[in-house]
Amino acid sequence: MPPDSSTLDHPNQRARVIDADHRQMVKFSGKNDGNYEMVKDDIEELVMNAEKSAGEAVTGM
Amino acid sequence: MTYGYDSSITQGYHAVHQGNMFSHARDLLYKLEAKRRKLISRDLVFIAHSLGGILVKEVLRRSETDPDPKINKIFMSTTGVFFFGTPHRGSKDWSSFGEGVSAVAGLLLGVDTNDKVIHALLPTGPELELCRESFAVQWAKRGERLMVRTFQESKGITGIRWGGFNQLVLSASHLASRSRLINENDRLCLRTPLR
Repeated sequence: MPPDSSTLDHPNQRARVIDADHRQMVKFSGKNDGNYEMVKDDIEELVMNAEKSAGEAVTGM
Repeated sequence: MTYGYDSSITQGYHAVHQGNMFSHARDLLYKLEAKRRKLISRDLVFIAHSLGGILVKEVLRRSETDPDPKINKIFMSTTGVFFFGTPHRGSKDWSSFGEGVSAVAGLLLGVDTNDKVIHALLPTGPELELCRESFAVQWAKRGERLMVRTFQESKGITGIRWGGFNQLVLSASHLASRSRLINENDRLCLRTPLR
């Protein structure tokens, strides 16, 4: 997609460029793939938040 | 959970029965609700590629406006949305941009871009804009509780032109003849877990 179509114009937006084409951008060669590393941190943050909110749900906090 | 809205095409259903982007969004929303019935408040993250991102935005819009509180939970539980190469907006040169979108969809799904199936699936310019606007409002509502990431590709695909942005368009039959092999590869990779 051209850049001005694949962004959302939002102040909180973090748009990043993946060094690949439209199809290859979702195929990562492994843990050390630079593109994968870029995506991984955000996913880890979401997983941590999810674990926290699941813990709160269980303990009723 | 992996949801491919191309499955109705690859399984050979007739175009008439499979509907458009909006009916696929409804289908995904109800499937999600059914799958989460025991844990309706569990955090939910969407990771979407290409036109799948438009589907996700429509799922969230429907989820919020549905009269059923169980369905509303999908939107309220969503903590992350990642878009990979999703066309959030069209271009001034819509007919040419639409041509690019349909060429990519054809490539990803492994069908001829002249096929009615593809055209039924693709959003129109105004639909694309509606999805973008509703998502922007939802994002503002959820604020910090919703992490949104957009990823853009750096390289073009040979033969695909996005609304006058680059290069020439190869004939539809050329794309279709190459796309079956690529499609096998695509589906395999898309379903490989990220670890």
